[in-house]
Amino acid sequence: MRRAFQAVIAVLVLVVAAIERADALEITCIEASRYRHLYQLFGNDPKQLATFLNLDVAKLPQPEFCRAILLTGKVDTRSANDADKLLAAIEANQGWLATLQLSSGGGIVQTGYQLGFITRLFWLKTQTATALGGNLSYTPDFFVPPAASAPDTGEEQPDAERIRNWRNYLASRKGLKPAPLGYTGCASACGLIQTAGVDRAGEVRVHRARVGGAGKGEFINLKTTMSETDKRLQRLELEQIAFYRQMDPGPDFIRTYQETPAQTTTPVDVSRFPRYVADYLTGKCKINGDQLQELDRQIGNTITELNAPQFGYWIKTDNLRRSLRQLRHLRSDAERCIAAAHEAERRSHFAKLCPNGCDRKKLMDTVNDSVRSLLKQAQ
Amino acid sequence: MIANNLRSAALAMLFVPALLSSAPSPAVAALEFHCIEASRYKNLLQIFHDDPSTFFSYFNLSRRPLPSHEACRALLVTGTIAPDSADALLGRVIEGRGWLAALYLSFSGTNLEQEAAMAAMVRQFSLKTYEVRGPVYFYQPDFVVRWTPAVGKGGFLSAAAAGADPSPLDSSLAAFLRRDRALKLDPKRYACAEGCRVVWSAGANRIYNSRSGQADAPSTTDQTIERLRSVFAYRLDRGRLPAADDPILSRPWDRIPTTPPAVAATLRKECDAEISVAEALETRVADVFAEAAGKKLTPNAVSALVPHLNALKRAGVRLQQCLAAAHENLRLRSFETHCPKVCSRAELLGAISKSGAEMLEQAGTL
Repeated sequence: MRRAFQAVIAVLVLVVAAIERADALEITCIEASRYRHLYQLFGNDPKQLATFLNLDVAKLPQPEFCRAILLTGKVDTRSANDADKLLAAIEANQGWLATLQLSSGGGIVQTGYQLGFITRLFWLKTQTATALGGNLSYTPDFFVPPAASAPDTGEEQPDAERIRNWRNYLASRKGLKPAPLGYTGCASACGLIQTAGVDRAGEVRVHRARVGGAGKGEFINLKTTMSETDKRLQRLELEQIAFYRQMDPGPDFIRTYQETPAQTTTPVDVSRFPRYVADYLTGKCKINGDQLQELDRQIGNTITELNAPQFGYWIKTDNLRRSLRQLRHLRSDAERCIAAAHEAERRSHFAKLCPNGCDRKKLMDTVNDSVRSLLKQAQ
Repeated sequence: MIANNLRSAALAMLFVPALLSSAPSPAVAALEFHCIEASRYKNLLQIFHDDPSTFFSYFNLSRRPLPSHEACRALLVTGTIAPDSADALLGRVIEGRGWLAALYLSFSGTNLEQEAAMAAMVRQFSLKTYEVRGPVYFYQPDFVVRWTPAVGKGGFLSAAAAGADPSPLDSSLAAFLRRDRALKLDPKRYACAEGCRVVWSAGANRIYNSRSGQADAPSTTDQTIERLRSVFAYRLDRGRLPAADDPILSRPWDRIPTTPPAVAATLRKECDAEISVAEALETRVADVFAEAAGKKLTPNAVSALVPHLNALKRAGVRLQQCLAAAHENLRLRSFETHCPKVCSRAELLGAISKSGAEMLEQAGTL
């Protein structure tokens, strides 16, 4: 009896991951991701979206459905029903929700596991939200924005239509209410959601296991003995490592997680795809999407770095700009293949999990089974 | 022709003093000079691994005493321009013994005579200028930038091995950039406006951040003064007056080139070899990319780009180091020319003010 009581207390203490923000998790639709706006990327023709993503033209999303939602604030305790909120958002968008944008300093690890398992179960993409002028900067998950213009050769560029559509989409977003981001980044328990994505972007700030003390900002509970603390944290670490192994965030992730003391956080890049998802996509699309994305980043950054203004002189980078533009054009085809593959997978997951609407209680049972199985692995 | 010129000069002599006296002058006016803490040499040495040899070799300088640890490489200039502003700036330049390299400008006010003298001073001492445009602005070292790490041997998805950064200063620069580098700006009064822009345009290198400052930077509504300032800036840059209808005179201030033509020519001459190599590599990377694109960007074709892209990054770093060294030598030489052993502040102020006043006078003839 005493042991059971201690276990309950231990679980209650263990689930507290220190964060600075006290507000609960909020889930909001990203206005610019509503399908009526996304149609602008296809000349305002839903059929073209269907063709692009290999969808059945007869079963297109309603214009008001959201393709992406923003998760902000604290990953809260079980009583706050964060997991149910996410399931409700998935259900409300009838499986057309594809991406979670994350902006959270973390919170309760157990809730993080639940949200993470839901993310993977429904084959969702995740992205650490980025801000522009203090507001969320959103780019649709399936679209590669054109690069800035290369020198004008007077000829119609092969990506001219894509550029026109992108401009129309940006114009259609202009009147929309911006989404201010109080906290920019994804840290601690937020990483449990981010790493669970099947197509991920942005970094996560990690730290090894913490046990909250009584006071705000305490990362260790000094009321327990050193040996008890060590035992508890080792177990929590095993749990989290088991979770991360399952989600496959990349070679540096677990090492950085283990190396970072509880009092601080370290940023770590998350691999875009879990390894075997990457292999599948490379086989299907005949290109390595992750590699091309990195090449894009490298060329773009090299142009910026070569043009740093403080040196007063720089070489022309017209050739590189032309390459980048061509790369974006070629990548757009590659990303289309990747996006279509994900779309099919996600739609089939939703159809299986919510055949006649979503039974959220049943889904929560499935999710909690996954969490229990994880805890067992750490025993 | 001669008669025309004489008539113009005579008109200018009448015109400039009239403008000087008509310029608004605030009740309490003074410029304040604040050392940007992160730019003290004791802090900047961290970027050079706290190694004097690295410091001297980076700037291609012969061994000499290091700048004082407390000396500032950059100053923030705030407040309102006043009749003693040029003298105050000169005092700070002399104090820096040639190691003052950059001014972050965030002041306002009109005093054409002082603006001209300060601008002449900035140019003669080869100082770089930064136009502050928003309430939040960070100090950036003017001689080095952080580069994206090189691509690893395993290709675009692998990190480069430790020590394979394109720049040998990258790791220490990364540590330096984690410092508090925020400028202490007045949240209500942060813009570089009016006479400040004349001083900014005199920089040996002129930087502004990307935020549009037009809404934030109030400027005098007197178009005659604005035009005179534009003509003056042109004269300072090119050593001659523009045509009266030159469209450059109606362009926004920030459209002037980052580098004055004479400085750009010096940089090009000093770093010609590095520029050629970087240009050749830029073309080579594009050519290899075109080959990879021809092979439909298969993973192997894309990996073939790695050594060329890494070579371009290294060439870019070498070029920037050469340019930084050229700027450094130019500035230190300028200081030694004006202050060979000791500085006569009064004499220098007189000469520089005279030079500024002459250019202003010429500008007024247009």
